[in-house]
Amino acid sequence: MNEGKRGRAIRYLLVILVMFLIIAPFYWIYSSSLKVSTEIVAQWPTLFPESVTFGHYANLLSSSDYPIYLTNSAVVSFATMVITVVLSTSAAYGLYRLPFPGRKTIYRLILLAYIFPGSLLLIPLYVMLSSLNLLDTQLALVIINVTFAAPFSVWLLKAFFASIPFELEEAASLDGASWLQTLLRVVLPLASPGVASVAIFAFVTSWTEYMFASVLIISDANRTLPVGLAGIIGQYVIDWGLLLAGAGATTLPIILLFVLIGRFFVNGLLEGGVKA
Amino acid sequence: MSSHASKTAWWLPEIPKSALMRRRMLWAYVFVSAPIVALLVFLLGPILFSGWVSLHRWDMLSPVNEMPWRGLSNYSYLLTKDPVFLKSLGNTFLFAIGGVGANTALGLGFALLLNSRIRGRTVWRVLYFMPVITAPLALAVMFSFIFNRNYGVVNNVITAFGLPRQPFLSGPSQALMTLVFIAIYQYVGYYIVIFLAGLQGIPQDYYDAAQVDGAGKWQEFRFITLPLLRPVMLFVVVTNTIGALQVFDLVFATTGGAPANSSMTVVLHMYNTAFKFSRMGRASAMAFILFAIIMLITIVQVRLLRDRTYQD
Repeated sequence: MNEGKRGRAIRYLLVILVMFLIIAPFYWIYSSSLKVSTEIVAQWPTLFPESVTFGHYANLLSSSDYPIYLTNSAVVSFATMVITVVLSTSAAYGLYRLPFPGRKTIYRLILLAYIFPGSLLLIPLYVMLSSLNLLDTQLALVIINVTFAAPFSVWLLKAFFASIPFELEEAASLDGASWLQTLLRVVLPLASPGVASVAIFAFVTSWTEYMFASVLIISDANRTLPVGLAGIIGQYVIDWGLLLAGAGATTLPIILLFVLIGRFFVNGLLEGGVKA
Repeated sequence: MSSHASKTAWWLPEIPKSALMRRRMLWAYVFVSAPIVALLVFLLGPILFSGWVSLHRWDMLSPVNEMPWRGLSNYSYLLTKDPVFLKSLGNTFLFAIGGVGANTALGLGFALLLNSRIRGRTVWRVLYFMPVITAPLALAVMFSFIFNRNYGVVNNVITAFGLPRQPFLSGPSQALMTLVFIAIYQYVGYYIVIFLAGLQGIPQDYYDAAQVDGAGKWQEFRFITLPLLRPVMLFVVVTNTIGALQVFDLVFATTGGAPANSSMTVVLHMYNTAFKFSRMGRASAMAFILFAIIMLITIVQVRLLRDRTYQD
């Protein structure tokens, strides 16, 4: 019994230790971004800011188009999220709930697309989108992000759709529900944890994407947050206060979102991916 | 191996062949067609186009139908005459081996240590995911600061103990290792949570039975835990390897491949070749070489880790 108690204490300590190691860099960046410039690069670093200043954030707002980047990121990520959810749930429903010849092949194709190395499509997709006159548009980013988020989403939804008994659909149909009603009222609500995690996954994928955005977006007015941040990194003189504020401000919205609804994503990923 | 296994696809749910289901067959095509068209347009088309470009010399300015044909010379140039490409290939392998190895070992190790009911699961799971949902570019800024040679906190601590300052990301022999460290930080919490979920999916009965038979801890791990964890292991190793072999954002925003290409990776070299130097043919050839390598490694990993016990 004593052994068990000690074991449990060690486990809690480990959980907290890993938590500490993961949070520490975040703490360091956010606390440093509130220090005055000389304190950021001081020989003896301070654990807490000596005098809290929001100067670097004010500087970020005045010297860069952060509010525009934020809006662009939000628009692109939201559109990606909606389209990915619609496409992947309908594809998953078709694949996992409806019998048709060739579904094994299609499932394999989607798995192949999921493991296909996305960065290798950078050049051909760039050429394709430029010939469609979509360079420097947010639509191009949405197309790219949906393309990369959808295959994983379809795969993730498998466990959720597969776990719903077919008898439920048959019963609803006997009760006179139309096929669409059955889908919307019976199947989708039961798969909703999966749908929620797909939505969060698509949003985060889009929010953090840099490589494609860096070549597809040209004008400052269309930049997303990571591209805007790269602009600050690329400046000739490194202003650490501005950089840290930029990194912090890029990350803060997604952290807030994740703190609020991240558990749905974690649960959905584990239910759909690991236990399937 | 039963004959049953070859007839039904275990990885797809079985669907009853009732009249109701048959009526819906048409809808299946409607639903599935959109993603299939998207796959063809955005994956298959570009791959073929990329392969075609890799056999030419192209600066993106001249029209596609006027590209001068170069045969396989882009490939032979990369494999024999481009020292940066070979260097980047070596670096990418080291990065992937170090990162995937450490993440798998640490993820599984911590998960084994933590494998029991732990309160506050929702909270710490979400926190463990934080580095994964952070934009790699923001992580790059964070660690460029933390590992900075002159005023990074790590060097402050090191010098406080009287040790010499380390260059970390700016040192030719340390840059790649520091990047591996950042990759471990980025993913280890995520893999702990995933392995933990996998471990908790293994029924306790198996362990009880093994204890009755007098199995030791190591035997339990070797003959119950590892085999039953195979699908999770496959997911972790395959996705982590594919991601690591394509590392870009992190390197781009920390070292840019410097110093002296000591941290240059394949995708970063490809990116520079294409968008800095406008050599689309050569960059496409790089993409194809990396694609072949990734496919080969993935196939080997799937073969080795595939769940062979599934059929019973």
